[in-house]
Amino acid sequence: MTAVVARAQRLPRSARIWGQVAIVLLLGGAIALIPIIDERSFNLQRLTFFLLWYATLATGWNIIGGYAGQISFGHAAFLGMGAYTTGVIWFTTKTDPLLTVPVAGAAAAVYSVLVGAPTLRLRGPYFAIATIGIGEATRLLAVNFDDIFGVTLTHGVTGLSLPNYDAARVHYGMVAVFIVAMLTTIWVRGSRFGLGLFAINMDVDAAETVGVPTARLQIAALALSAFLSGAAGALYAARQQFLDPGSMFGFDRSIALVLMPVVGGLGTVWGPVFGAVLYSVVQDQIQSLVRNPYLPTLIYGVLLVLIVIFEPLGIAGLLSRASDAARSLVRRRPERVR
Amino acid sequence: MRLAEALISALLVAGLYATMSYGLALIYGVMKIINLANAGTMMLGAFATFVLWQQFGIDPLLSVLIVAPIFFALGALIEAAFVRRVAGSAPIISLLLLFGVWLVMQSLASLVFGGDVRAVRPVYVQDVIRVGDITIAYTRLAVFLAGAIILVALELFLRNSFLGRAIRALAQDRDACALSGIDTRRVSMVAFGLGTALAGMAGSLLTLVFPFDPDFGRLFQLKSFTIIVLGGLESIPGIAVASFVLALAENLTVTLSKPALENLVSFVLLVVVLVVMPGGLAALVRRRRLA
Amino acid sequence: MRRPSPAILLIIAFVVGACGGSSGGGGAPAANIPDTIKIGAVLPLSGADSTPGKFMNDAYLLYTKQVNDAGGLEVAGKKAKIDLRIEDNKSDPATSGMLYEKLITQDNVDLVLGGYNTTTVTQEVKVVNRYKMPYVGGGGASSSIYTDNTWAVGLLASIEKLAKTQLDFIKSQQDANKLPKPLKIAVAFENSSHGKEFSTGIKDGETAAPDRFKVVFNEPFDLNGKDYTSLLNKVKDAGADAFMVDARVQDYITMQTQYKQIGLYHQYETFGPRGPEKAARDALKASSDFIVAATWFDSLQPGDNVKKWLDTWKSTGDSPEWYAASGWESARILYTAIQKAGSLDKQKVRDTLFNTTWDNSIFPGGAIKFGKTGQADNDYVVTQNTPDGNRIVIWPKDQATGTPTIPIPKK
Repeated sequence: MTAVVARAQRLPRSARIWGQVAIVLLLGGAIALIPIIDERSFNLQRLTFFLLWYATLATGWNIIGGYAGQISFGHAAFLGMGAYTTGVIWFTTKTDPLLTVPVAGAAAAVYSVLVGAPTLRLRGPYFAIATIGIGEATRLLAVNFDDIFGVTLTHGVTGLSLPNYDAARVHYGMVAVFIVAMLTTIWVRGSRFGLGLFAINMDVDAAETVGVPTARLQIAALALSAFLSGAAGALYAARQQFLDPGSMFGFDRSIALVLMPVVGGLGTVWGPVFGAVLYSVVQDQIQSLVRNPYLPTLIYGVLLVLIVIFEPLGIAGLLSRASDAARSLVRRRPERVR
Repeated sequence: MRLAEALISALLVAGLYATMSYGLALIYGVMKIINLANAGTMMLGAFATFVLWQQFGIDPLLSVLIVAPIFFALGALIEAAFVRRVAGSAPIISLLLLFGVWLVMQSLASLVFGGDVRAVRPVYVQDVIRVGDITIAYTRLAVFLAGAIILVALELFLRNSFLGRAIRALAQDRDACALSGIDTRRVSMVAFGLGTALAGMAGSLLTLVFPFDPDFGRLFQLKSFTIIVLGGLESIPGIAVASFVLALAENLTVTLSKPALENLVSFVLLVVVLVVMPGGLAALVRRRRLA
Repeated sequence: MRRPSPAILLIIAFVVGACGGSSGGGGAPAANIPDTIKIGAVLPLSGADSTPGKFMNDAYLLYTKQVNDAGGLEVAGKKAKIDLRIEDNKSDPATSGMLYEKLITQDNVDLVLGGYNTTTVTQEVKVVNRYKMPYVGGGGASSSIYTDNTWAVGLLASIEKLAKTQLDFIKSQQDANKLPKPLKIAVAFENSSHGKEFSTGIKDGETAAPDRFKVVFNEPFDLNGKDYTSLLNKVKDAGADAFMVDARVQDYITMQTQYKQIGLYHQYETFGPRGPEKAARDALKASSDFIVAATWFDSLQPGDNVKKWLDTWKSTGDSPEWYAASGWESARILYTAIQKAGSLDKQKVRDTLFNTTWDNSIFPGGAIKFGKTGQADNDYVVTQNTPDGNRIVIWPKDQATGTPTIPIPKK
C-alpha cells in the first residue's frame, strides 16, 4: 500500500499544475459553449451535465477516500443534504437555486463534520463502518423529518416537487462547480494539506510522530469532500426539480460514488474523472443495450476486486503504466515502481 | 405485562443478532479486517435455504446443517484466493476488496433469482406458543434456540480444540503465534471459513423470520457492526450482551416513539458508543474493575 | 502535460459518440405520419416494484403486438407500425426521470406511456411537463402527482377516494348491525404519499361522521420493512375493532404473517388496494381469508369488455391483476388518442386525451374521463377474500357477487 500511495504521489510531478488547470478550463469552457451554439441540443446538454456531475461527485469523494484513505460508503448523505438544502430553500423562499449552491455545500460540510468527526478521531475502520449507517440514517431522517418536527419541509417519501428552472443556466452552473472541484483537487494535491493527507494515508502513527495533526486534517478533508458533494446535489435539485429520499440517499447512489474514483484511480487527480466517464457511458448507453440491470454491477464488482489486487491505481494507473512502458521503449529506461 | 413482552421479544431478536454478528467478530479478531461481504454471505445463505426448501422440501432448520460446510468452503476459498493477497495492506484495501466481493455476490444472486422478494414459508410459520397472555411465534423461538446451540458449540470448539485455541491465540498476538510454530495462514483460512459459515447459517435461520431479496443483509450489516463495536470488537461473550442491548433499544424505540425510526437506533447507538466508550461494553466493565 | 491527455481523449470520444444520437429533439411535423411511430416507456422491471412492473410491461407489449399484427395503427388514412421501447428504472425514481429524458432527447420517441409507483410517477410527470410530452399513466394514484400538471393523464382514481369507498361499505355494514357504531379504527400506512392520503381519507371520514368512526391509532411505517412485530404490538394495545392498512404487496405479506403470529384479530381488516393478488394469496393461503380490498379493477366485474379482455389476457398465462388491466387501458387510450387526433402533434394528442370520454373501458363504469388535473375519477370495486383462495365482489351493491362475511369470523 505504501508503495501504491508513493506511486500515486509521484504521478502529478510530470504534469505541471498550470497545465492541468489549463486543461480543466478548456474542457469546462468547451462544455459551457454547448447551449450557446445550439439551444436545442437537449441530448448533448443532458449527457454533458451528468458527465460533469458524476465527475464532480467522484472528485469530491476522492479527497477523503483517495487522498486521506478514509473510505466513505455513505457519501450520498452529503449529496442529498446539499440537494435538499437547495430544494427546501428554493421551495419555501423562492430564492434562485443557483444562488443557494454555496449554502448547500456548506450545509453538507457542517453535517459531515457532525456525523463524521466522532469516528475520524479513532484509529481503524470505524469511519468506513459508520458511513454505512450515515447514509441510511440520513435517509430515514429525510423520510420522517416532517413528522418528527411537525413541519412541511422535506415532504417525506412523497418527494419534493420543485418549480421549473432554466436548463441552460443550470448547465453553466454545473460547469462552474466542476471547475471549482477540479481546481480544488489539483490544489490539494500540491499543497502541504495534501501532503499531510498522504502521510496519514501511508502511516498514521508516523505522521503523528512528525507532528501532522491527523484528526484535524482528516476532518478538514471530509468537510471539503462533503462541500463538493453538496454543491453537486444543489445542481441536481435545480436540474431535475424533484427530490425523493430513496433516490438521493439510497445505498446504490453511495456505491456509485465509491466505484467511480476507485475504478478510475484512487488518490489521483484525473482518475475520478475517468471513472465518471466510464460510469456515465455504462449507465446511460450500455445499460439499455444489454437489457440486463444486474450485469453492470457484476462487472463493477469483478473490476473492483481485480483493481484492488492488481492495480490499485485503476484506469489512471494503467494509463501511466502504458505511457511508462512506451517511454522506456524509447529511452531504454526499464524502471518500474510497484 | 407490556415490559415482560418487550423483554422476551428483545431476547428472541437478540439471539438472531448474535448469530449473525459472531462471524464478523471472529474474522475481525483473527485477521483484523472487517468482512464487508458478511451481508452478502447472509443473503446467499438465505437463498441457498430457499432453493433447498423449494426444490427438495428441506426445512430451514435442517438446511442450516447443509449450508454450514458449503459456506465454510466458500469462505476458505475467498480467503485463499483474494483476502490473503491483501494481507498486510492498509485497511482500506481489504475493505474495498470485500466490498467488491459483496457486489459480486449481490449481482450474481440478482442474475440467478431476479430482484424479487422471496420468503420461505413452512407449514408451521404461523404457529404460536402461548405463555400466559404472551404469544411467541414458533419460528422465532426455533431460530433463537438454533442460534443459541450454534453459539455454544462454537464457544466449546474455541475453548477445547487445538484449532480453536490456535484461533484464539491468533486473535491475541499474531507474531507470537508465528514464532511458536502455528501455521498462521492455515488458521486464518479456517477462521475466515468459520466466519463465513456462521454468516451463512444466520442467513439460513433468518429466512424463517424475514422475507429477503439480493439486497438482504445490508441493514443487518450495520446492526452487526454496532453489536461488535458495542461488545468490544473481539469479545465473544460481549456480543451476546450487546445484541440484547440493541434489540431492547430498538424495541423500546418503537414502543415509546415512532415505529419508522427503528432502523435509526443502531446508527445512533454506534455513534454514541464510539464517542462515549470506544472500547465497547467490555472496556467499560474492565474500567469498573480497575476503579 | 502528457498524463492528463487520455482524459481529454476519452471525454471527447464520449461527447462525439453522444452527438451521433442527438438531433435536437424536434418532433415530426403534424400532418406527416411516419412509417413507424416510436413510443417510449420506463418501468420497474427489476427491484422492489418488479412484480407490477412486469405485468404492465406485458400489457403494453400485448396491446402493441395486437395493433402491429393487424397491420399497424391507422392514423389519418395511413397504417403505421408501433415501435415500443421499454427501459428498466430498477424501481428508482431518479433513474426513471433520467430514462424518460433519454427517451425524449436521444431516442426521439413520439409519445410515452407511464411507469409505476407514486413517487416514481411524480418524478416522471415532472419530466414530461418539462419537455411538453403527452403521457398516459396507469401506475400512480396519489393526487399529489398531478399538481401543476398539464401534459400527463393518469387512470387511477385517488387514494382518498379509496378510503372513502371502504368507509361507505362499512357504513352499510353498521346499518345492518354487523359492525359497531362508532367503529374504533387502527390505521397503519406506508410512509409515502400513497399511504398518507389513505390516512387522510379515513381521518376525513371520521370528521364527517364522528358517530360512526373513531380513529384510535394512526401511524406510518417504513417501506420494505422486515419486522413489523413492534408496530403490531402497539396496534394490539390500541384495542381497535377494525385494522385498516395501506401497504405494498410485499409489506402486506410480511405484515399479515406477523399479524397472525402475534395472534391479533379485528372485526374488519383491509390492506387498502391489496388483498386479492395471486402472489399474496399463494404466500398467505388461509391467513389472507376475509381481507377486504378496494381496487381500481377486478376481473370479477361484470360486462362484455371485461370478458373480452380476460380472453385476450389468457394468452399471457398470467393472472389478471389490476396493474395488467391498467397497463392495457393506458396503451389503448394513448394509441386511440393518436388515431383521434389524426396526428402525432404533441399538443393535439394532449388535447384529445384531456377532452375525450374514453368508452369501452374495462375499468368500473365502462368509461374513463380525465379531470382538469389529468387524473381519472372512476369508482372503486370492493372485494373480499373467501376461503380456498376465492373472492367475491361486495361493493358497489349492484355488482356484488356474494354476501360479505362481516364481522370476520374469529378462528
